[in-house]
Amino acid sequence: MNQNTKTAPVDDAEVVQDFNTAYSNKVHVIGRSTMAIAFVLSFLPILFLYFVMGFRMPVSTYIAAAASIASMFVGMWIAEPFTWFPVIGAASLYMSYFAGNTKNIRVPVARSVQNIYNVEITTPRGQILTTIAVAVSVYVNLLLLLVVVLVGNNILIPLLPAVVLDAFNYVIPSLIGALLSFRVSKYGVLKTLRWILPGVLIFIIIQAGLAPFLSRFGTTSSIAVTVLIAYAVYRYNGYREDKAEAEGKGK
Amino acid sequence: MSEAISRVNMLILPFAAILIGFVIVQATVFLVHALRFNRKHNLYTTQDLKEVAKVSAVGTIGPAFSAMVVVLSLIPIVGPVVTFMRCGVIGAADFELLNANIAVESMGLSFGDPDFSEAAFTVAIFGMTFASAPYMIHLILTCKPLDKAMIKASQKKRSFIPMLSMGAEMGFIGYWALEQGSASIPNTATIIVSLICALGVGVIAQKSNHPKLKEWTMAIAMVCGMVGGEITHLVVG
Repeated sequence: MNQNTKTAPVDDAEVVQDFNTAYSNKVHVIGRSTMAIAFVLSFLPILFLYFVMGFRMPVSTYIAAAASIASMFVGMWIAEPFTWFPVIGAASLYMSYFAGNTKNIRVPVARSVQNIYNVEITTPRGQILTTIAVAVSVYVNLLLLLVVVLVGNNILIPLLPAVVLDAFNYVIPSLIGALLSFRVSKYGVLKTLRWILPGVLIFIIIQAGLAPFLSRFGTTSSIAVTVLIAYAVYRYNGYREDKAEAEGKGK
Repeated sequence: MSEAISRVNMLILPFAAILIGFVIVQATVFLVHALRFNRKHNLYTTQDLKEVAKVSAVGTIGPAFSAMVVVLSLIPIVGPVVTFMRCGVIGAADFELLNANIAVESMGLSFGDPDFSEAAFTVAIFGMTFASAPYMIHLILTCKPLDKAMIKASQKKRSFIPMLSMGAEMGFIGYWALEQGSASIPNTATIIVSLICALGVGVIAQKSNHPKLKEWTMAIAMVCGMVGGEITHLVVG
């Protein structure tokens, strides 16, 4: 595949049909069953410690901890997966919410390959590519994690100069710059800036203290407002296209 | 790390291994499924897929290393096994640290307390696990209907889905950029340097007819951004 192609290759109807039926159905069979098993497996150590080893605290302690955490994250639990779905697709979403680091690792990796290969997540090509990239990122991340957990404290960190360790503070901003470049190179500076404006507005509202209840949902609110504006633009463009079509037929 | 935390870490080692092993199993099953579809329809060549794997691996290392710095701060608090288990499953190290602390504080304790027992640490692990569990239930319930709705919408004469993807991405990046950029001058400098570098690499790749250079866009931009950020920090203070 030519990576410099300006126009994305189009999947033929047979590929799309197979993707939307057999492939997609199996993705959800895999996703749902593995997530259900993952759910059970993740609670297994606690059940073992509580029932087998007898490390018991009153149930009310567990309820208090759960209530504190729920009050803090309930909004994120509901909104977050919806926000990443249109960016990485179903299979990658299942993997991301099991292996973790969705925002910091999976989304940037997905956007990077989509940009290089000039594919949209809405196409079978985009979904296949993103799934492969996210699966590889899961392996690499776990490998790094294993190395760091085993030898990080004693070998890896002492080897790195202080200035290098300090530079790791700037990983996230540098990631943001790289992600922004994908949209800037595709749409240009002005169009990119235009679509960032809703986020700017939400940010200002939160920083100015005008809506304190939004402070914990800044990212989600920004995404929601931007998507709503995108929907309004989509409807308006549709209306204009229909009107132009009707006028063309009238002539 | 207290005796109680060390003991619990040893006890749950097999469970951690099973859980992390299952993360690998899930990724492999999805990978095989995607590769089969690719082979059936010849969407990408083997060479393309190798390049995708390379880009993904390189793109993972930078952000993963930043998470590892937090991982290293988590190990002395909850132990290596719990760190590996929790950071490998919905594992953002800072998220896990926060949840462990919330759970422990709800008992009126802290990790450094001399009377921090195995039972208290079990509650801390429960806190970390409980914070991730709703995401799993969420996906079991909503991912399929969402996907089917997306497929249905994409089959319409005009589809909102491409604009939905774009809107979600721009809403997320825009806010994230402002949040991070406004935190400090070096952060702002990092974003700008990284953005300019990424655009520069793209232009050079196109003009010099070296398409492979494009695969390194994110890695090069991130290294340049980090260097720019650190220099700004040293200059500005």
